[in-house]
Amino acid sequence: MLYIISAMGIEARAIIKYLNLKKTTDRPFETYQNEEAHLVISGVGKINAAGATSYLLKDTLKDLNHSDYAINLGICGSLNNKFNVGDLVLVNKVVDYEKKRKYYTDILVKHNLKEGSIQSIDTLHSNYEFEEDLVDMESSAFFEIASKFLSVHQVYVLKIVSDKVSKNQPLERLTNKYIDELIYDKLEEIFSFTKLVSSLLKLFQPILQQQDEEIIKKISITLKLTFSQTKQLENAYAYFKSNKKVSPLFLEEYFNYIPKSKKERDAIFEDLKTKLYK
Amino acid sequence: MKISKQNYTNETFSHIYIEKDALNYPLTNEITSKLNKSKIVYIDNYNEIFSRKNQNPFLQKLSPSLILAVNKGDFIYKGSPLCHDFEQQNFYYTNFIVNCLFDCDYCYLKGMNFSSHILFFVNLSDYFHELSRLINEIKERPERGQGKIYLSISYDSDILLFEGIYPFLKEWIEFAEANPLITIEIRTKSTNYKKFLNYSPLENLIITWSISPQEAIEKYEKNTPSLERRLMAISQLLQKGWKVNLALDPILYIGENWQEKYKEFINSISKKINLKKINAITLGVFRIPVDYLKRFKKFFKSPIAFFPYQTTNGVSTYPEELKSKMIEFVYSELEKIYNKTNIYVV
Repeated sequence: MLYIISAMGIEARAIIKYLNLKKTTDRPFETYQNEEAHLVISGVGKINAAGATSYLLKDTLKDLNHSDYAINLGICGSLNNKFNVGDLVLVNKVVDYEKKRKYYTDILVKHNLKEGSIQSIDTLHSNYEFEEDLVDMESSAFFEIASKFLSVHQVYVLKIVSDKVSKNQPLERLTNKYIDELIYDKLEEIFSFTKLVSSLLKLFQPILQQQDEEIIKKISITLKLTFSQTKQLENAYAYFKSNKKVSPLFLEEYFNYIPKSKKERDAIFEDLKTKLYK
Repeated sequence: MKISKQNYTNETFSHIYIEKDALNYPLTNEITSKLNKSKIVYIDNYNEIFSRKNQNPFLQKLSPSLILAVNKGDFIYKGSPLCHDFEQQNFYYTNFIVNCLFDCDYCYLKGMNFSSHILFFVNLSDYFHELSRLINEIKERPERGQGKIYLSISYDSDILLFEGIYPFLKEWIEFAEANPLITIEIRTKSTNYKKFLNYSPLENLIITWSISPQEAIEKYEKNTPSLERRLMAISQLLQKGWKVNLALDPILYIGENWQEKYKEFINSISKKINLKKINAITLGVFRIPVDYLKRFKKFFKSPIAFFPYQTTNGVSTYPEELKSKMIEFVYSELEKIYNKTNIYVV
């Protein structure tokens, strides 16, 4: 599942349309989804971004889905001449300007995007230092929270440069049409990248899949296994699967064994383990 | 269950993370100029990358990044009781490179480190400085083994893999030459032996080749050279007079007919190399701190992670009966063809 966090509705508009997402909630955050993607509009700033990221990813841990990934998608300012307005940048370093904390995604996927660093700020002021390539108001909070739910190779920040930030000139107000077009022009590139990430993540699936866990659970209940025995069964099951490259489906025959005593249960359990370790 | 590297994974060292302090070392420039296609990201401290929480060392193996850093902590460590000490009183190890491009299912580094990215410490001169200090300290205390030190420099990596981009060998050979009281051991599975041919063999530099039956190499030592290629490399250096050890470590349980396979393996060693010239042979079965094993189970899909080991004093290994049988069998096969006084068992 792809999780997208955007600050403003206008940043999300083209994406919602492109992915054909349907609105699901209004409060506390506006969310949209289909079978492959969830999107939340966080509002501007780090607190909003942290709250919305947490809100969106709250079920991920429970599902233990190694195919999930989260992207903070939106516009940003450029602080130097490395990038031009309209560039799509995959961020390789996120700095929280006020907290001085740094976050790095793991870019394991081969891609053609430009890469750069970004600093996230609370407010722009006269003493503000230009330390990184780009600036925004959400990505550090997004990264900090998203990487509590997911591994760092599952968390990305993708930004489109909307304007050049200068110390001497006040920021220009960007029109909705301008932002919408910036995003629209990069949709193909954005979703080519997400497809690559998705393919890479599918390479890694835990040894015990849902079907395996169901078998283990059923046997554990039927045979009235202790906690320790269930853990041993999980290990033996994983050994069999890693060794033989298939699930031990023959275990289904144990679904009907109902032991009459602890002694009998222990004997059945030892027999089952022997088969798995063979 | 083997994961293959597909077109959508980045090249090895597509990214180099450089500590700002490491920019002051000429070695950093040398490495980055050799890897000039890599993207560079500046960091304050290598732990920002290396020790991050929530990394997946399993996937990182498909596309490891390089980290260049300055070691500001300890340089030399006392050898672990889980390693061979060759009955040396002053047994130490050091790590100026951490992690490896080989992908062995049993490698303890995968349990020890949060990351599979490769870490180079570029301040090698500080390591030599600290070693010189240690040599002097031990020299002044004759009760500590007449000042002799045994130092392994490649426990936390197969360093010979990196000689092309981190040219450390010349410096270590020069150090060994200048300091006869120290014996340096380089442990490897690589076949990158040709660099040694540029130097004269040293009495106090030992190259230890880790070797396994070909079936174990194919199953559990991904990306490593075949047994045949390793034996060829060993044979070349033996002919040139280098001191070579063999490590049959870890001995692995490779199925019910493991005895037959290990017998065949030992026969093939004796056919391909002149065992009389081998300095020592070490033996040990797979063993690992139990906490590292827990991380194996979390990330890896190899049967090595899920074997029903026994854990004693925090170390997991084969059940005592199997362990003894494995050691005794391999030892007895070896002693038929090699001087048993030079066989060390851990």
